[in-house]
Amino acid sequence: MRKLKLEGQYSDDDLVARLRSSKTRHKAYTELLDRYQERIYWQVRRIVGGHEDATDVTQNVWLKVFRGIDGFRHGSTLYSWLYRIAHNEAINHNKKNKKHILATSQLRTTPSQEDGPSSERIEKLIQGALLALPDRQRMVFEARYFDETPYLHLSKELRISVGALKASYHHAVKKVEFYVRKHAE
Amino acid sequence: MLENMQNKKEVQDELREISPLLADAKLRMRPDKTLPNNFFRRQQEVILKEVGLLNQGRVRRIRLAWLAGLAASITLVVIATRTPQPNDALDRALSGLEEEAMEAYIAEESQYIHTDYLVRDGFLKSMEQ
Repeated sequence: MRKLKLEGQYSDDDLVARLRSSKTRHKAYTELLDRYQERIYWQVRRIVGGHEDATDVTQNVWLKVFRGIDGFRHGSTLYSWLYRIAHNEAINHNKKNKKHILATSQLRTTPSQEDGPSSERIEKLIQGALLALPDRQRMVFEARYFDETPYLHLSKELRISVGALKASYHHAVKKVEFYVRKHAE
Repeated sequence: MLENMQNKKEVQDELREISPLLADAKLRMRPDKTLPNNFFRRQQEVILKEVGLLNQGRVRRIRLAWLAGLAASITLVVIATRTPQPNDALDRALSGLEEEAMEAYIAEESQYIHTDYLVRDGFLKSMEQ
């Protein structure tokens, strides 16, 4: 499992302030990339599939982030803002390329194995289920299920209590399970 | 390392409690696909270049180097023009002398062989005296 970058020199709020100052911008961009680049890449890759597509999409994501940082409002946290941009870019990329890798019809026609659906198929079903989840549940699910982010860290990052995060994750897992069972039959 | 292992176990235990199906699926999940060497480092450079930050640093360094070069050139010109060059006056005095007079000078037949005098008045003038 890839290493999660949990600590940085600055808090996310400090980082945003440094990104907006021309004197500190260069170092702040590097710090931002160090902190979130890998997570955003894998988030995008899970949606678009291939490495090349994921590379292109993540580059677009970061360009949008850097160009839009002045417009970032603290109504949401930095990570949830990045997450949203990355998710939208990846979905738009798939739409533009007419990729319907998660279309239900395609999943139904995949032959199932005797010992249950293959791990690849389950992964696809999970991705299909994620598209139907509300933003927060999807974000928490991805952070916990794929990135194994500790609740405490996620709580700071998203400014949501640990209890609320656990509840969101629980609901998300149940919904994903329901979707997978329904489409794996 | 130990912390990571504990966290991994916590995530898996929690998941198994909520959904054994997804817990098994997670265990069977394919490991992360491999990426080209230094992929994230190189991608970071590309991104910084695209937003113009890498170039900004480079342009700043080029500008500084250019200014340093200009300052050095100006200093050299100032030094060259301000430094006294004593041989110039003597060369000017000696150039254009008639060959015969020059020979007399070299053979020390001239009455006025002091260099300073030659420089001040010119060799021919001193010979006329």
